[in-house]
Formats: sequence, C-alpha cells, structure tokens
Amino acid sequence: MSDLRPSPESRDVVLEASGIDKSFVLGSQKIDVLKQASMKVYRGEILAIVGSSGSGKSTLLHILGLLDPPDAGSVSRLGKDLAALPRRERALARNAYIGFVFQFYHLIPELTAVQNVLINPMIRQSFVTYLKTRRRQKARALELLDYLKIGNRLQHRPPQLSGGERQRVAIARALIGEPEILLCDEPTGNLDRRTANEILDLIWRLNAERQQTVVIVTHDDHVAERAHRVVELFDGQFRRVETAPA
Amino acid sequence: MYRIFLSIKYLSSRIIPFLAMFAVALGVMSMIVVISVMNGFIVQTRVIARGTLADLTVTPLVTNASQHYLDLIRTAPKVKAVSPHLVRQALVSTGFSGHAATTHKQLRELSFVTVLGIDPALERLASDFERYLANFEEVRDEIGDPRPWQVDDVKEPFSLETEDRRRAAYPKVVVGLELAKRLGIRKGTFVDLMTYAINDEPGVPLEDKFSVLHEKFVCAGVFRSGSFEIDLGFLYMPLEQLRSFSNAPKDDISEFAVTLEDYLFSDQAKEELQELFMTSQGATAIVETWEDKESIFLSAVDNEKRIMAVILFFFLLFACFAIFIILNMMVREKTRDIGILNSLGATFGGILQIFVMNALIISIVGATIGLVGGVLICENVNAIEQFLKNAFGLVIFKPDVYAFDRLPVDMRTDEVVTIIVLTIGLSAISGLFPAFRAARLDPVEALRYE
Repeated sequence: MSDLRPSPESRDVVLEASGIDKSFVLGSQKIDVLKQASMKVYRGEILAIVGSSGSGKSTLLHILGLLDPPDAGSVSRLGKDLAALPRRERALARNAYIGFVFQFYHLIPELTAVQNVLINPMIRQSFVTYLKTRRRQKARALELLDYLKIGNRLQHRPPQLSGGERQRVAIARALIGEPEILLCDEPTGNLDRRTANEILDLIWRLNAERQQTVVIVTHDDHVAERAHRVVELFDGQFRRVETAPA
Repeated sequence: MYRIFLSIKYLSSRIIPFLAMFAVALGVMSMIVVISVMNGFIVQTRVIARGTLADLTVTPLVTNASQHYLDLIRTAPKVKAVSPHLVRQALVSTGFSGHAATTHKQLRELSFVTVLGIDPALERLASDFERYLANFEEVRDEIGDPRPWQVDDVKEPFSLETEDRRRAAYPKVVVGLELAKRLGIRKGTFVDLMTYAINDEPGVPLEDKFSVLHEKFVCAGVFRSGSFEIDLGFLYMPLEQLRSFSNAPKDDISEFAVTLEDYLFSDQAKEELQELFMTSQGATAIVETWEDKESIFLSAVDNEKRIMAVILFFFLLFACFAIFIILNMMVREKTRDIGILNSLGATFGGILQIFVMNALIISIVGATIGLVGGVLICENVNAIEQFLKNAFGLVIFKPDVYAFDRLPVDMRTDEVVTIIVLTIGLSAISGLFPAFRAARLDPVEALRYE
C-alpha cells in the first residue's frame, strides 16, 4: 500500500501515478519491482525519488514518462490515464508533455549540439511545419543553449564535448519542447562533483525562473537534500515522504 | 522532418552505404547496358533472319492458279498488300561469257545468290524494296556519290536510260550493294547469271532432266537494305524475266509475300488466311509468319537475352542483400539512438521510416547513378569499344562474327523503367525488415543497450 498521502493543499497535480505494478521475468524468476506504488507530482516542484540500486527508481521514471507501460495502475494527467493509451498516442503525449534527461546524456553522435536540440521540434512537427518555422526553432535552440551556458559549443558534436557540456545539451533538447515535467534519471551520476553541482544549479535555476516541474531519480544525498520533496522507493513502494516548503 | 534528416545524417557519416550505392549503381548500369545491347542484337539478328521475308508468306500447293491465290489473299481481312515472288538460286559473275573485260580474278569471283522475280508495282506496296533503292545516305562516306549506283527511277527500277544500244537491249537486274562492291558492279555493268532447270515430265531421259541455263543481264542499279547478308545474297529482276530465264512453267509462283496492316495481329491474320484456304476450292497453301520460318533461331536469341537478364538480376539481388545487411548493422549500431528517439516521442512509423528511407536513398541514388552511367555507355558504346581496342588492343566486338559492323544498341524506355522500379522496390523491401525490427524495439531496452 502506498503511503503517499494526498496533499492537504490544493496545488495543481501535474502527473499522478496510482496503483502501479511492474514485474520482470529474469530466467525462471519473476521479480516484482513495483507493487501498487502511487505518487503525485505537483506543478512547480522539484521531487527527488531516492532508493537503493535496483529498487525500481528508473523503472518508475520510465513508467511516468510513458516509455514503459505498467502491468497495472494508471499514469494520469488531468484525470486522463495516459499509460492506457495505444503506443502511438503515448509517443505523442510523451513528446508533448515530457522531457527526459538521462545519466549517459544520450545525444545522437552524428549531430551537432544545435541539431541534437532541434531534433525534438523536428519530431513534433510535420515536415512542412518544421520548414516554415525552422528559423524560429533555431533561434529558440540558440537561446536555450545560451541560457544553459553552452552557447560557445554549438557546432560541436557530442564526442567533442565534455560530460557536463553534453548534459547541458541534453537538458536543452528536453526543454525546447516546453515539457510540463522534466524527468531526470541520475542526471549527475556520471559527472564529477563540481560539474554535477553546476548541472544541479542549472536545474534549480530552471525551476526558480521558469517554474519548471522536475522529477529527479537519484541516489545522491546532495540532490535529495536540495529537493522540495523526497520520496523513497523501498520494496516496490514509497516508504517515506518528506515535504519541504515549495 | 527528423526522418529524412536523420536518414541523411546516418548515411553520410558512414562509408558502407556508399559501397551499397555503388553496388546498386553497378547492377543497374550493367543491366541497362547488357539488355540494351542484347536488344540491339535481337533487332539486328531479326533483320538478318527476316531477310526479305514478308510479314506472312503463302506458299501455294497448287500450280497454275496464281491469279486465284492473289484474289483470295486480297479478300482476307488485315491484309494490306500482296506480291507474288518467283524464287530461284543462281550463280552470278561479271564474266562468264568470255567478253573482253573478263579477267582471271572475275572468273574466280563467283557469288551464289537468291534471285527474286518480282512485279515492281506490287512489290513496292508489299515490302521495303523501294526504300532500299535510295538508301545510300549512311554509306555516303564509303561510296561517295551514289549516282553511279542508284537506279534512274525507283518506281521503275528495271529500266535504264542509256545511249549504248547493246546495254539497252539486255534485260535488267538490281543487285545488293555488298555484292556490287565484291564483284565491281555499277549501274550499267554486264552481269552473268547461271541457274538450272529440272524437267520432270515422264519419259525424259535422265541426262536431259537437268539443264544449266545462263544469260547476260545489265545492272540497272544497286539496292541497300543495311543488312550485310541481304545486300550480298539477293538479286532482283522482273518476275516474267526470271520465268523465261529459268524455264519456269507459265503461272508458276514460288510464294506470295503478304504485308499486313499491323504485324501485331500476325497470328490472327495467319489463322484467318488458313481458314480461307481450307474453305476455298482448288487453292491449298501453307501460311507462315516470317517468325515461323525462323522460329528456332529467333527463340535462341531471345532466350539468350532472358538468361543474361536473370544473371544480372542476381547481381541486383546481391545489391539488395547488401542493403539488407547494412541496415541490419545500422539498426544494431543505432539501437540507443532509437531509444532516444522513442524518449523524445518518435512513433513506430517514424522510426520505421528512418530506416526504410535509408534503403530508399541508397537505392534511388544508386539507381540514378546507374541510369546515367548506363545511358551514357549505351550512347557511346561504339566509341568506348573503339577506345578499348585502340588503347589496350582489347577486341570486344568482332564484326565478322556477326553480320553487322557496329555494336547495335536498342535502349527501351519500358525496360529501363522496369529495371529502375524493380531495383527501388526490391531495396525498399529489403530495408523493410530491419526497419521493422528497429521500430519494434522496446525503448527501455534500447536505452540500456551498450
């Protein structure tokens, strides 16, 4: 049973997961990763999901991001269950509402920094629409990259960029779609302390200046300490909830 | 947008797709060139195989009824014109009869010819004979002024305006250009012909059954069909002239050359004519299209083309297989990218299209290069052949083996279009399977893929 209590305040709920079950079959063994896990993400908050390795944090994030359908339960936005949608609709919803940031950046190595950012609007828009708006899209990409302090590395390809720089490009790629919610999977897990702090500062600045809702999966205590709210996954359920003032 | 963008980026950052493009181009190019040259060979060999054969040939089985046959054939539907032929074999020379010009060389230069006795007024409607009489434009470089060769009047080919009474008195013939060149015949040259007659009336003693006939003629001009064999092996004279020369019975006709309105319906016309002869009294005949007469030879040539096409098709299949392998490699290599695109909201169809587009780009670019190369080679095939011969002593085409002096090329739009469409279609299909695999990948698994 989830111990995530409904918030007493009437804050906007951006995304709500309820009664999520997910299991994997490993050889002959069935592993239940999530058992009736429920949680809410409120607008404008930074929520940290912590838990030991293999506790199902990433799986939960994938389910929230509609990449992976749950075995049972729902992922709802404005009362509509997105996880139950057919594959294509889920892809469109993912593109419209969700931005992903991964531990290993996951940039496309053939593309320059700007192109990696622009691939997001390319996916969203039809061929003709994109061609019509490409100047505006490019201007936005440049502005974002500038905002993320990587405006000087625009034409570099991922292999020519440092880890921190790659992660900034990845964040820009997610942000250009103006997602309601930014899902970060160990965004600093592959970076040194200093660079990690820079990236975290960026994310917090996004939250402060643009009211970006952020969910961070992490096992880094520094991250958890700074988050507005922390939930811990243990044995497939949320065990502890710390509510920080939003 | 991202589909075409990523396709191009993926392709242009690797060398292997260019190799596949090259393979496709090579396949398309060789297919176009070989098929077009084979077509050329077929057209040329058909011309040679056809010789002077008309669309349909009617061989009468009843003698002394030529007018009846003529009338009957003319009533048949689809028949445009009909011309009676008397056909004999003869030896030709410019000096049998021991007149002053005879030399040892000329005596040795005997040629064996088929003599066609024709009615010029009917023949000009039924065959290309009239055109052959003024067909010297292409050999202008070789023979110069065609006037010493050409007949005075193509409408009346067997007449010769001459001051020389002796020449005017002799009957006239028209010979092929190659024969004329070999024997040194010009307009006005005396030509000796020797043929034979068989007397099979009962009671004739054996030694009298067979008789050799010879007669002197004057060349009224030269014809050129363009086929070496025809221009060397045929000689025309008026039908009645040949009849008297060869002692043929009155009203004897060897065959009727029938020209149809449209050769497309030759088989139908043949059946209708056969029907006609079956139901009519006293006029049985064998009806053959010219292809029937040369069927084995023609089907052999046609079969050769088909074999070549199949062999080259395997080459194209190989190119498609290369596309298949390259795309499979690419899907494996790009598994993580596929996960990323999924996380950004790319749909199943979108990812499918990226990889199908890869296959299409490879094949379309390859096919275009192949098309351009193939057309260029086809258009300059003789220049290329000449160059290879001059530069490397490489003899590709031996004119003396075939009966034509240049590599013949006949590029057909429908065949070229088929080759291109087939190539692109097959490539798209070979790209479909890896693309489908890519699109079906589980995004979470794909993101984890190392």
